[in-house]
Amino acid sequence: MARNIKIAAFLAFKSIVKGNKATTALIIFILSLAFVNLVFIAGILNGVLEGINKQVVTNLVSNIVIEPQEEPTKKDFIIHARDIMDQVEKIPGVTAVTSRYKLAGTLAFDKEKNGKFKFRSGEIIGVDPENEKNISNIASKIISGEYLEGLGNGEILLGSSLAGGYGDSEDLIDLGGVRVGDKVQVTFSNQTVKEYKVKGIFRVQFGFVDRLAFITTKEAESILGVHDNASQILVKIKDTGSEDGYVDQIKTFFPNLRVDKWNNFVGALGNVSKSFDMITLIISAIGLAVAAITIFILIYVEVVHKRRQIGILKAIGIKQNIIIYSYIFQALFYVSLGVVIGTLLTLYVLVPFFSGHPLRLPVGETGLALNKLGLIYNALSLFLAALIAGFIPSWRGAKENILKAIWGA
Amino acid sequence: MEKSNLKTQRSKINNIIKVENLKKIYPGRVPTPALKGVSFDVKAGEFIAIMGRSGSGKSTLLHQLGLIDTPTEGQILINDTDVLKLSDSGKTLYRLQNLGYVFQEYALIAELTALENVYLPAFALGGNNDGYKKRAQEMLEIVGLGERVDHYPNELSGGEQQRVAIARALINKPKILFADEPCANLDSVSSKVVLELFKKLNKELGQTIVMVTHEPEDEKFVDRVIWMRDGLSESP
Repeated sequence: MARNIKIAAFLAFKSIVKGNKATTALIIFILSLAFVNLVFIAGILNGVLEGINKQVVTNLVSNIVIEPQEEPTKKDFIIHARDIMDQVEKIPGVTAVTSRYKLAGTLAFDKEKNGKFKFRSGEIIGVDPENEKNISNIASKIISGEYLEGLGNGEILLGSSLAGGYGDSEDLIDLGGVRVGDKVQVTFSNQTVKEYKVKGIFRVQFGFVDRLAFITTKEAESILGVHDNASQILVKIKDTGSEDGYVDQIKTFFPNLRVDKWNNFVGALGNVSKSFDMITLIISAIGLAVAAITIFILIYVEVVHKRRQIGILKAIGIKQNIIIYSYIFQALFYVSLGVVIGTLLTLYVLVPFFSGHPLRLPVGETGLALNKLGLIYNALSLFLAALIAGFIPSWRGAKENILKAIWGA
Repeated sequence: MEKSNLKTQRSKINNIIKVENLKKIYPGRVPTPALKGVSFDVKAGEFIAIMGRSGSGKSTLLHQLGLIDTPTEGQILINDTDVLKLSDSGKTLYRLQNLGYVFQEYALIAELTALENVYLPAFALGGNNDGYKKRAQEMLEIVGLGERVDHYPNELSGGEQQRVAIARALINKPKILFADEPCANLDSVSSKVVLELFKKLNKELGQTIVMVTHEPEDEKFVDRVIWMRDGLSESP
């Protein structure tokens, strides 16, 4: 067996060395593009998913969310939120904790001051402005006006998609172009009606967050008529990805409260992830099939071109397997170089390009998100494709009758 | 010297090839019989020519003997082995170990040098790396191409390529060397070189050679001629 492989490798080596250099270069180039194609699509879609996940953690719910008890009786708020936050803050690895009130309401804005209001329903979040800075990036994403301060009553912070007129092009959900200093009227679900002066407009480039409005905790408590309660307590930890241990620990402290990881709040975006996985799979399968067909055609042409030579090799006593292996080795050689060049193209051309020119999507700026495992998986897939695509034509060629192969009889 | 002659004489007594009622019919709408029941023997150390008109079946006969085609009926014994009973892979191995084959059109591997073409069958047979390269070098020297070992086939003349093919056929010390019109594409000078080389190999090494030729003047180089006519062998 070892000898057969040695001879096959020798024949493959000679065939490549003595073959047409331009053709070999073209084959390798095609296969490197096939590899880039496999890696690129998965990389972009992974980039989008990573972007979504990052936005959810950074601007929506942080790492862990504590919510009011559901069993045995469902409660609207977490009671004595401050005590709970103090206790959670003490857990090693927890870097920040904050509480939020979630209020539903309808916002109304009369842009032209002519009594024609534009109404939009939305979610109004009550936050401690200082604490919130440790949890989300919203404070640093103010595009007009200022961030909320202190206990500030009568002031509201609007997301750019809700305010409208900031290039988000979502007329159906925005208020038609609210500017800093304008007044908006909010009718809360408990029928409380209040007018707020817009203190600032923020944009984190994540639709789910940019549609929110923020008021202070104090203001939210006055509307809800509660004190030291919370709709949610958000917990930020040192290492994203190691939430499970913290969730268990918090649950032991507060068995009645509901404690979840951030990915349970991805909601509809979870389906995007599944869809992207499927798209990646389909595109990869098509890319792989195209690569396999390319290799098949290359080896088929090579086998047809060397039909007589195959007959001669068999006639002088070279085993059929050796001939097949030699063509498979050629296919694997082309793929090896294709993978190496494709990887270099990806790492040193595409990745720097997308870092400098990220794709601007509703979930934020997206680049190529590559992982080693993905690269290895794609490379192995391509090798497997080469193995099969190299085997079929060479097997057909090698099993041909010697006389037919040599003389076409 | 006397001992060597005695050995050659003794080997000539034994039949190295025994062909019995060999038939080859090419299938088709109208089946074409190419061999109609050929029988003959070849003794070890003989230099045999198979001659006959074009279409008489001489090349077909050589293909069957060289195990590169399968007859429809009959028996071929080589060194008492019923070679037609071997499997395809068994025939490949048998060719590698026991038979040498020289084709009409040189049939070298274009991507290999003269030396590589020659040592390829030895490489496939196994053994020491330096051993078969050294032996290939010696074989090329025997055929007069010791200085052209690193040349590729397209850098050699037709006669030189055919001599490389002969060296390749001999590298594994085959029991029988088959040659299918080895001089058909060569000029008269090159043809003479090749035939004299065959004669030399036969006389000095006792190499059994079965050669197909259609040149009547080649008769003087061989021990015996098997004449073919219409798919049948004729005694001289």
